[in-house]
Amino acid sequence: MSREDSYSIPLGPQHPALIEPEYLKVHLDGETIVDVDINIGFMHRGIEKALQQRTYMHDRFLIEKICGICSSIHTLSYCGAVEKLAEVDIPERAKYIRMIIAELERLHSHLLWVGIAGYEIGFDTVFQLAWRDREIVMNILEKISGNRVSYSMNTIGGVRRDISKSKAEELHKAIDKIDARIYHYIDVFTKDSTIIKRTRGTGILTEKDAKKYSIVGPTARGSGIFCDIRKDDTYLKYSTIDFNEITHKTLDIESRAVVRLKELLESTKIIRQCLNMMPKGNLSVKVPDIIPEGETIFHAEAPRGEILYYVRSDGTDKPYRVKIRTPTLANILSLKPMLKNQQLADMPIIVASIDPCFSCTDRVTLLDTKTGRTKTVDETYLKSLKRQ
Amino acid sequence: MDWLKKIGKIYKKEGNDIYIKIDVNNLQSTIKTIKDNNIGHITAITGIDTKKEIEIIYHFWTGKQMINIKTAIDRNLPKIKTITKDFPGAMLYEMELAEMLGVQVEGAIKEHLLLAKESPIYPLRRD
Repeated sequence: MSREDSYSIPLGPQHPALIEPEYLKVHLDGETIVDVDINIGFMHRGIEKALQQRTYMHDRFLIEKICGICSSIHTLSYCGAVEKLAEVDIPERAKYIRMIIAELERLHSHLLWVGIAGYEIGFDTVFQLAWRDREIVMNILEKISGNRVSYSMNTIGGVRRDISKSKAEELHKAIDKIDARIYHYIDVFTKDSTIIKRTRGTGILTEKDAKKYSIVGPTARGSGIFCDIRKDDTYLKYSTIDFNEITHKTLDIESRAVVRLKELLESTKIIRQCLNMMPKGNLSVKVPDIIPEGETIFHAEAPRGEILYYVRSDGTDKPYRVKIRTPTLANILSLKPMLKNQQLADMPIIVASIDPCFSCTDRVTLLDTKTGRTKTVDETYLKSLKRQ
Repeated sequence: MDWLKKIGKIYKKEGNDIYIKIDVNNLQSTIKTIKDNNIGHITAITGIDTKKEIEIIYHFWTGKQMINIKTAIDRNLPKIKTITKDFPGAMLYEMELAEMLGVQVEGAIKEHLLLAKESPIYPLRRD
């Protein structure tokens, strides 16, 4: 297929992901994947450099823009790190609101994934239904924060908006609706023969490989590894909440799907408890513009896994260094063992199963190991394979 | 976790986070000690240009504690050995370190990871 015929996706600066899409060079023996070379960085925007040149508060707004899907967990981690440096304890009510927003974010992120997974295996009904249900979460987020994405709720010292009694009631009703839908999706992903044929036994990631590559989040938990930071290094008020860490041991795409779907039920459980436990009080405390000299880390459980912020202050109003490690960067390496010996047609769903911020099959180079010939194909070609 | 005291100077403890400073010459033995103590998860590698030297922090997550191993190398001749033999998950972090701060990581893949070929060289250097 020539370049002129290729379908290309415009990846402008408005794209919400930090380091996606990646470029995959797949080595093939016929239709079987022998190896894969991973190339990323197409969306690198120099955020870490930019953060050094702005004040702490200004950085908060820039960090909000790192990811459109999980903007809340980024600001939660950044604000948490700065508050640790400034030795500030935020109000209790703000902690619960931060948790509610983080869990709502997980809900819409995982539901988005459920839709993408359905789409990638050619089951567009799931895609349509999951994204319809995701709207329930998006609408409630808009009612609380004023925004569907980039909620801008977290700030250094607390949160910017309250969840009123009437909004809390609406939120209760919304998550009740979502709960019923999640049970339906768990049924679909574990019983529907069309989905099982594509997900069961495909994209195996053994526990050994997951540990070897330091994999995080639902991708690792789908391989039976306990690694939920909300449990292991509890932050905010997660230690007071009753919820389970979900793992599944079938190691395949189905396993990762089950983990994400069951996590949704835990998220709604957390939101309900937060709404009931949330005390009255202030939303934020004043934090000085000048942050004392020092260094600290803050890691949290983002929808895709562990996220880490390292912040160093030199005693001015601008950070000396902010290091961000997002979960997708850790999980990309898991594609190597997952894709090995798999069919090329399964590649889109395997790549999507790690839940990268963006399904990245925009351009792939195929190398036939027998003939040595290469050809560049596009998303259309891969989709034509998966629908055969 | 008594072995932590032996590998270097613990200069900070904060909640579940431990910060240890080590000499760069002891890096390989330290990494081996960490591996031998059943810690297999590397969360990140942070590189910082302090204008005097380049500090490198390896963040290891044990499942209960974050062990931050800090070392410093010469800013004019920044060289360090790869740790991917013990921690294959560090591959991309080492490539990022090399690209952003110009640290030569011996044994690591020498390719562009995040930056384009025409991007500024070592953007996180404070020159």
